[in-house]
Amino acid sequence: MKNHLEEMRDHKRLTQQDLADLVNVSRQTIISLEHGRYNPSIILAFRLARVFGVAVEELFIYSEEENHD
Amino acid sequence: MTNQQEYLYRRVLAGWGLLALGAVLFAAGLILQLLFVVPFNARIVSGLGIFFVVLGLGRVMRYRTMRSNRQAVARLINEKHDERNHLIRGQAGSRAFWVSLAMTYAALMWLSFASSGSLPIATPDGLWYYLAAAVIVPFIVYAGSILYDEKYS
Repeated sequence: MKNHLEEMRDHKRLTQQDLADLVNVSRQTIISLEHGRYNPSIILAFRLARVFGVAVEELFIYSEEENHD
Repeated sequence: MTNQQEYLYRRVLAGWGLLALGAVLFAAGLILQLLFVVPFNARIVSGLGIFFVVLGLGRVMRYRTMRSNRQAVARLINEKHDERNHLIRGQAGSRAFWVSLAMTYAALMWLSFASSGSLPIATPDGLWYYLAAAVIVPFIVYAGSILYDEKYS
């Protein structure tokens, strides 16, 4: 799933480790999220959205084509 | 006591437990070796004791040095509860389980056919190597799967 995590993190001047500490995950998870290799749980998605003060839909871009079986 | 302190306390305690178990096993091994005649090499027990002592000592030292670094503890706890780590380990465990199941099933089938004369009977040496592989191969699959997923997922 695509997302605006990296742009928003840069905008907030946070390092990957800072963001990881804020949402209680490892730095590796933030890296994977930013590269679109990992889809977060709904709880993590909400935590991240709350850090940036945006809605989940503004942070993560759901695409029907990418996620169909 | 905060969650972090409790977490560290439990880890250090487990380390001391391993250390004590190791010391007991090491002493038992020595006593068996020196005072009794046992039908096995008592150094196995001492060796196991040394292994546990080293493991315990490592844990105690690692977690005791972390006591003054709250950030390191917080990151350690985050790593432990990290959802991606859980997913990766879960998938690795699943793969290792299926490999283990397949190897055990293959051995069972071989022994079944061997008992009816359709296949040669496994020699004790052959069986030993196969059982050793049945332990090592799933572990390799588990570790390899974690390494792969850590890099590519």
